[in-house]
Amino acid sequence: MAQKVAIVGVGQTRHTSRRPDVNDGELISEAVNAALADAQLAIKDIDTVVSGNMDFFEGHYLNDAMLVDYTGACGKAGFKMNTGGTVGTMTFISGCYCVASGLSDTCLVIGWEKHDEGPTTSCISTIADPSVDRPFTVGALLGMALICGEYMNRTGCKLEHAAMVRAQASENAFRNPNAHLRKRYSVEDVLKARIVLYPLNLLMVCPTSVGACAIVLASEAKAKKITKKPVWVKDHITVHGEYNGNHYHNQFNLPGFPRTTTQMVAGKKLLQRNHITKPLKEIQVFEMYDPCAFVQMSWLEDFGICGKGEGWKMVEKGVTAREGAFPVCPSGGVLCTNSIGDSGTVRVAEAVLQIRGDAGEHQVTRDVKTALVSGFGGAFWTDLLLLSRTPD
Amino acid sequence: MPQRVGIVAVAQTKHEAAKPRQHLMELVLEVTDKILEETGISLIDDVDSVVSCSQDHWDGRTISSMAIPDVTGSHLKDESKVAGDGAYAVLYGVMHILSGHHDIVLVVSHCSESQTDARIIQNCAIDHIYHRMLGLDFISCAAMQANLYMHKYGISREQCAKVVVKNRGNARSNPYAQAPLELSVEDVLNSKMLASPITVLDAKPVSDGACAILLAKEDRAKKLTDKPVWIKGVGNCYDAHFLGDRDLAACDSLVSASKRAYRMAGIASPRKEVDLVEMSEMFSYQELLWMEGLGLCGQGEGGRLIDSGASRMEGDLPVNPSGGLLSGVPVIVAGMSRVAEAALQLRGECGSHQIPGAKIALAHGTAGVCGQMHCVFVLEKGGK
Amino acid sequence: MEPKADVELITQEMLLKIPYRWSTGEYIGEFLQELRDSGRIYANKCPNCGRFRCPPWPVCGVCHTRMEERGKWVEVGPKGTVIGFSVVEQSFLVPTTGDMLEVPFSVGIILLDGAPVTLQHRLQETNPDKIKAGLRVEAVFKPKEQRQENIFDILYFRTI
Repeated sequence: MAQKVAIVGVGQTRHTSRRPDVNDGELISEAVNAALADAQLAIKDIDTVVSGNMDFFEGHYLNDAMLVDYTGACGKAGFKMNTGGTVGTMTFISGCYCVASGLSDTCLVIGWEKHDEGPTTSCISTIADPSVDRPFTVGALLGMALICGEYMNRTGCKLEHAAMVRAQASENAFRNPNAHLRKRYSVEDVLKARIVLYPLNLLMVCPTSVGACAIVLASEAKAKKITKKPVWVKDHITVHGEYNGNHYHNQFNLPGFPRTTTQMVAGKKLLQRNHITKPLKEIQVFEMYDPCAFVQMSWLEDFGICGKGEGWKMVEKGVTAREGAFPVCPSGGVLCTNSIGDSGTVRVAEAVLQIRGDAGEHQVTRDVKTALVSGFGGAFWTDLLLLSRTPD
Repeated sequence: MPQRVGIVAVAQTKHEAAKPRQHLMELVLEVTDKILEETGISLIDDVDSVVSCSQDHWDGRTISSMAIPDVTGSHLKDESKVAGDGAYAVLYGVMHILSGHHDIVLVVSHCSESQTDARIIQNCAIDHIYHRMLGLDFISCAAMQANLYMHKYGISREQCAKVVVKNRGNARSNPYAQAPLELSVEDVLNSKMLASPITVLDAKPVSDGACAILLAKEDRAKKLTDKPVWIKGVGNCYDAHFLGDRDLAACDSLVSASKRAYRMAGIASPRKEVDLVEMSEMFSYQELLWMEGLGLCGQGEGGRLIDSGASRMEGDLPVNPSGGLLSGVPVIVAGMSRVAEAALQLRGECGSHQIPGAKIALAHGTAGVCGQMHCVFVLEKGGK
Repeated sequence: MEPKADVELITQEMLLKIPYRWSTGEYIGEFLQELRDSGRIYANKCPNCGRFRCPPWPVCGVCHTRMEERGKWVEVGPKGTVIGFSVVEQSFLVPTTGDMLEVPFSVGIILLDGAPVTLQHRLQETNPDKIKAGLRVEAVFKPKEQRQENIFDILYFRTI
């Protein structure tokens, strides 16, 4: 990147199923104020505001323009991103582009979603082509269910392993005051939950949460004046794919066409170009966008963190626990908190807290110099980011 | 800027009142095909990233960009979607290149307004707590702005009508324009009233279409075309949302956006240095108001400018020689198509609507009620 | 900031109804016409990389080659093999109709006979214990006079 990009402040709201006490703008304000306070800046110090959110979910068109009083964008440059589940990380990436391009010195990134204001599953179902796939689209979870079955078939992973992932996530979320579902579950508790879409039960899939997250980015020169603990965005990659309405076939091995996921492509490229050959050692924490319990395991393999078929074994051995050798989602992840507009932004904010040593009770036990963050959404798209304590 | 960003190729569909034979992806395929034909590049191998602009309510589809990854060559590639207006997608594409992260970026936009009901969708852009239930939409809000602006500065309906006559007339020379028309001021004044003072002819017609632009960093741009158009400056800005929170007879955010663009481009006297303007005028009065916001005439002087004839094709500052939005361009595509039309002018490829000797052009996009947010580009002719 | 206990929290409700007339275009449109008129399912092929799409698609998403036009479409199905499935137990508001989904609702990814191409559609079987990858199924069409040129001209895929 031409200009180095630093994260100088993060803030998020607590996440919960309903926030009848705030309207959209007030929700955003909570996160914006928290991020500015963390950065010890005022809104006048910001020159650009980018926001990310999904239009249908609250029923608004051009809501970045509608909410300028709360985002602080009035009189400033900025725009809105709108890419589905990846919008949280994508908005953050767009902030990185604003700063890296030299067109912004201090950029405020905001991800938010107020799911209690609209029928989320119905809105997500409109993701599919109306003439072909929409009648068979049940929100975001159907595709998940299909690929979970595929992972179990291919690697021998069992329902118990998904339950282990969820139980572990609950331990982490219990320690995270901003997480949504903070109740602790044992593996047995998880296995007993009600089936939603075979093979996924209610505890193996993410909730819908209301929340907002804001991050302040700055150019290198500004960052050094603003904070003693900047966190640097070393690299990021976005990999999208062909329309997959009928064609989850990229997720399956088909005759002549081997399984090729965006996670595989993103992981390989990012790790290679950053010369990371031993990810389990060279990266100390992974805030993965994990919308269901199985993918936390399968994507560890796809991203190239571990070998094929090893993902569920890592979980079984406790490697991915908060105190483990390679903690995954010490925040509780998307499994415990999912506000679509901010889920990706929260992953970044949580990774920043880990690098700064500011994650309080859910801080991992390893010293974190380098963190990996992923975003997921749309037609099984991926964003992957590498954050670091040092700029080089 | 270390290396400049160049526009290498542009493509538009012919905009039409309805394109019922084409799925949205087929519409975009038309423009990506044209880019490929013109440049000979491979979408798969040569393009590093794709930035699109489309909108969920208009398309009836959440993550509306999911309709087009196949036709834009986005498989296993960086692809993203910006909301608002196509000009912002161009801005984001420029950022992709200035950041050093990518070298060649394809930006596209699409909208088929005829597929749905514009006024219901526009109503969704109005604040939901206080104003949405009043049934406001862009026409009624624009009518309020028009009344305020015209009253404050003594701008007449005739002066606004002259914009329509000019633009619909200019469109006769533009093969992409939807609805060229030879009109008189009386024709405009007598057309059906939508919301006083805005008549049917004072408003942009319903339109379907798509647009694509290929951007490249300087050294790649020079290899891909001998007529690159350089992006010398860009600026964008938001204004307040509630109509009462800002002076509707002014457009402060456009003033800010254009000042940023001029500063970046090193333009000290825009009225003298700019050769033509392609702007997004959804309603006739907006051309007058946006000219003031762009600093091309004084505040309140928009009426005088149109009367002077300076903004006609033969004038010294032609505005919308393409016919502008009033001749039929879809929202979302609008700002990107302005960049495309301005680029064609600087490349000398406009045929009978060519402004001779054009070297510096402004391209403008806007989104939000009564032009709440604006994005301005200063483009410069490159090559020989 | 916690709300004060005596503050009444007001919500505003709105039902958003937006009419749409989606153009199906040349490829999807003709696929649906064939479902209606001939009760046949068609796919088309990318002449460059050999991938198939069902329904037929204008351009290959992977290599961006124009896929084969109408004259070269390949008939696929009506039989196929389930490669993935799920049974929806929890209902929700269907956005196109405004009605609640009737559950259980069973969906499969079906690898259709005749080409390595998949179609997503409803399965008649709704008991997950009776469905697994590898299950053979067959498309059941609506009687011709009831067909409406949409994807539900195929009623569902039944187990064979």
